[in-house]
Amino acid sequence: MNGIRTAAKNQAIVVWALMLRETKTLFGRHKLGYLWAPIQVAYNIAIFWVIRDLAGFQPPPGLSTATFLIGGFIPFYLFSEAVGGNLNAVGGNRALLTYPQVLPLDLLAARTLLNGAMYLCVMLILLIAAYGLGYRVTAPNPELILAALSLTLLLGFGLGCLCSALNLMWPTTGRIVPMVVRLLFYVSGLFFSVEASPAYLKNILFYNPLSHLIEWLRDGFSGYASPFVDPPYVVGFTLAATALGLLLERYSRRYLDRI
Amino acid sequence: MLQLVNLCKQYRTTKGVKTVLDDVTASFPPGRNMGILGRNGAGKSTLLQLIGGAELPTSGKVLRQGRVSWPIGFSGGFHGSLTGRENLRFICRIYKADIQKVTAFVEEFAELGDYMEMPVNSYSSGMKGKLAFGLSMAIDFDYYLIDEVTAVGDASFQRKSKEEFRRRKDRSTLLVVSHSANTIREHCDAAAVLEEGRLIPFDDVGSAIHHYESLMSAPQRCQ
Repeated sequence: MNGIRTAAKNQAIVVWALMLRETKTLFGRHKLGYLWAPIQVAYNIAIFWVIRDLAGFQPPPGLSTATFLIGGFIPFYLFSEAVGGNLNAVGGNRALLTYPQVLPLDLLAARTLLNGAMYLCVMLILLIAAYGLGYRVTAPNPELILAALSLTLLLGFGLGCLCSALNLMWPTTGRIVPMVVRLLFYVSGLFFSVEASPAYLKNILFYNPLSHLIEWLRDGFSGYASPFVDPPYVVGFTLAATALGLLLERYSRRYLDRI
Repeated sequence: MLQLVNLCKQYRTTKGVKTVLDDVTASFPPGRNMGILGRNGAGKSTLLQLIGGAELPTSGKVLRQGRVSWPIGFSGGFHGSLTGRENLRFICRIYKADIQKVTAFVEEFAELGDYMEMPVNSYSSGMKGKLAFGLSMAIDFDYYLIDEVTAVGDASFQRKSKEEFRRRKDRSTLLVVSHSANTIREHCDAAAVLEEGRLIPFDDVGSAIHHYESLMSAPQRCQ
């Protein structure tokens, strides 16, 4: 048991060191570099805000347009940046593996945690900004928000491990994953309500775990329980994806020195 | 003590499987500086990568007691857009070394001056080497893995490096791989020759060099 504890502590030290290192490399040399993440998300939200307003869409009950869109975009970015960032976390940092205490899994964990922390901050900034601008911001079920965000991060991590491993074994993965992520941008209910979409569409979208997570997060803001959300499905999917990702990550290590 | 037990390493290439190390068993006791001679492409660097733990063996084991350095001369682990000092902090963190002590030592030893505050991108390869070398000296390793000692820095820096190695001889052990007999003669107490995936040990450096030179004068066999 003691051995496991020491090993876990050592890995935590390495992951923390990697995170500190990545904060500098990810945001560039300028202090303003940190600001780009909230600006980028706010910009994307603004586009769809305008489109929704022009089209005359109303947010679902209990939500304002602000919480509706923030609840859609934050999980998406959390997920897509975890997958996209992890895709090249191992291949692009191969040189770091020369230090034997740095394992591929540490690189993946550091990226995911850093992205998670960043988008959590972005969400808080945007919610505060929306509240400051006079939009209704409520969170009657904060535990749902926490659950949805943690699951999204874990799903991103698991699928990120999976994609990183596939990318090492089969470099074409690096081209396909962004295309799939792009598709998810349109079909996960970021800027529309999956709940309110036609039944035939809802039946297909049901299989997309991200749309469950987005609806779940919105439930945290609205206080209603969306009948679309199927917690056992989304938890099961996330755990299965993570298990598969970790397995494949272990297997793909043998491909690391094949260049 | 460092031990290699039935160590094998194969790479899959487009031309089929290439065996670089074939069932290597050896032990390197502390306090005896060991040299490994081999011609270019014999697998010397691969051997160091395996001993350091950067790569995994295809089969077999590396047993380590004591802290083993990364291959000295390696500076690829630095991030180009981070400054020398930021890179130093990262290495200190993962090796659990005292950042202040290491910084003080490296500033003194590597003589980089203001460059410590500049991105590593702006360094010459010699400067990168000095930083990596200084760092490895500041973090007290029990074993130093050295890939072609002469590669780092100019003549005065090399003198200083040799001096530093001599000073810590009773607490650190060197493992030097080189294709140059002179390098091995200068640094090592014992030597082995790496040839066609096998490691042949010799008790004294002289007979290892003799064997190596007879190999070198024979025509090279293509694999």
